[in-house]
Amino acid sequence: MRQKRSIFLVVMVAVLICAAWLTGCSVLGIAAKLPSAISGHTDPDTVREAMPAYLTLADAMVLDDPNDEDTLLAAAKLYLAFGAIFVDGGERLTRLSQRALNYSARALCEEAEQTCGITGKPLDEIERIVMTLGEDDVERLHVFAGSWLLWISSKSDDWGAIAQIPKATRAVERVVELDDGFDGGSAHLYLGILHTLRPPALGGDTEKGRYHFEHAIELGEGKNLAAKVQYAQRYARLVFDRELHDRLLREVLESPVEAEGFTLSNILAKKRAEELLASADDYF
Amino acid sequence: MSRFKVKFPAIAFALLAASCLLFAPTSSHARKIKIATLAPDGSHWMKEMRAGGEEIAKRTSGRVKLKFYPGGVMGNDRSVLRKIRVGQLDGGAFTAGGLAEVYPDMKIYGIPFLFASDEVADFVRAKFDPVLMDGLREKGFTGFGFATGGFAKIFSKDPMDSMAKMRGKKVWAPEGDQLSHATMEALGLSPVSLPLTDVLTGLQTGLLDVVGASAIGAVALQWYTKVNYVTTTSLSYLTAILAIKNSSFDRLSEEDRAVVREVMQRVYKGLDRKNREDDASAYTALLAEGVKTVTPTGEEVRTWIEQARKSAEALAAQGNFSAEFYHSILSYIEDFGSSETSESGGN
Repeated sequence: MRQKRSIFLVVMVAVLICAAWLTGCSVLGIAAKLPSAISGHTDPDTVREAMPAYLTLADAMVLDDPNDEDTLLAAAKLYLAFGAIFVDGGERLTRLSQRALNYSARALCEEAEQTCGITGKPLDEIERIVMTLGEDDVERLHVFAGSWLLWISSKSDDWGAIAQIPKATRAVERVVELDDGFDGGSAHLYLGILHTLRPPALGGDTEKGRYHFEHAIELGEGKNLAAKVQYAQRYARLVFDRELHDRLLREVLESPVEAEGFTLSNILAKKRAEELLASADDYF
Repeated sequence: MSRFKVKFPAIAFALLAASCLLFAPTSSHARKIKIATLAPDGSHWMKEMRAGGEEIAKRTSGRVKLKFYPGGVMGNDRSVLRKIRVGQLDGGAFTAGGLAEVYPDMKIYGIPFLFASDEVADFVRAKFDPVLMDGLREKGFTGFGFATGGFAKIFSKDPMDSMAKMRGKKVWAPEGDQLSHATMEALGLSPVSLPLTDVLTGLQTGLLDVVGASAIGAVALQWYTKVNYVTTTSLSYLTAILAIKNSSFDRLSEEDRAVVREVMQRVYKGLDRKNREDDASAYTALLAEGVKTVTPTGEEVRTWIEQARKSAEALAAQGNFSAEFYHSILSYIEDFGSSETSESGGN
């Protein structure tokens, strides 16, 4: 009952804001712009506290129009962003990423019928399905692949989830094949992480990981500081390259925070860079 | 996705461990014990080892500090041993086969088709683990117990329910693993010797048709994506050992040695349990991903065991491992079989 009332309140607030804008406004329009507003914000605490209300609003919007692909995609993006940025693992991340995965898979299915039920299909069928997707599907596929990876990461002790890594990887690879630079090259960042999960001694292709990290940095024109932090944490630590590790992290600390689309994540990246540098003596 | 962490990350844990160590009192006579392992940082294995290191530092008031080199940065078992010999490292988490270079009997649990189940392995290990640890100590290393890596099973592109079907197929033999190589040859198979790192590509390009791996390995290394079948019979029992060279371990005071021994033995016992559970979960996961099971007939399995035993006898006679130990283990297995029979007879 309380939940219903809060949804109602959030919707009411959104409607009132829209009414005040007089023209060109819709709840969906707001929801669609939220990810940009979030990524450009300079205060993580404000965003952390504000977002849950919008997540609930997104759920209400999906309930209202369950087959609308734009609504599903907007809802998936919000859950993906909130889970990835603010929730540090555990069952809560599983619940939130499951929602992002569910919404994004439905958004994909609404537009491309052959993708319906994709997560339950075997790898070779997924390979065939993703090859039928084109440039128009990149955004949906990107959000879907990211949500899938986030869900897998939340279940890092579950072998059933780990066994899905090759399938999610194939979805990310297809994004890169279709649009290399989509979302500032973030699919390359995902691939960098995926290729550095295993050390070379266990068959990991760390050099492929390095290639993707460098490509992500290049496509983001050096403005996405999280790419450098991940490069240091995942690759440099894995191959025990202290020089590279420290250089990347120092660059992060010396770079400006504000960059279109990356401000919020840059603030968090700087904090992480400080932590990694502080622990470097102990690690190396 | 900035904190994506699939199975192997947990720098956060390392940070936590590091910050806790800062609060531990330090001593001017601190001993740093450098340990290399193939386990990736952030894996359950490394988390437990680091937690053990942290406890040791606390309980020895900072006199003993374990420094880990995870993810194979110090190379494979052979190069870790070389680095230990020249004093660059003090110890490592080895595969049983990796330590066989120092102490050949370490590979005895890995003899193909030796143990049919975890229960038999448990029964034998309760009696025989201490014997092997004593033997290892005599060869210059202090061991802290075995941790199983699960049972290797046969993964293949076509169903393999008989040795006849495997003949003519390209079967993977881990590079440097003479025991597997010799057993395969004795069984009339055609082993292809490759390092672990080349197996996925080998399966992809057709260089390999059949591989032996634990379910954990098949999922974590993604080999299951290139095979269609798993043969339900257990091929061999996999183990790992944490060992520190005696000269480094014996430098510690008696009191500190007792702490290291107690903590690391407990860590390895925990890993032993957890890995067994993980192997079962990974097996379920790969079946869910579409790998089909194949079960050979009882008679076929008996033939495999018989031929593997003949091959093991020949290897023992050539001095590859102790014939006396091998026969003791066989008699324990027999004891287990009779206790099973008498128990089920009583029911």
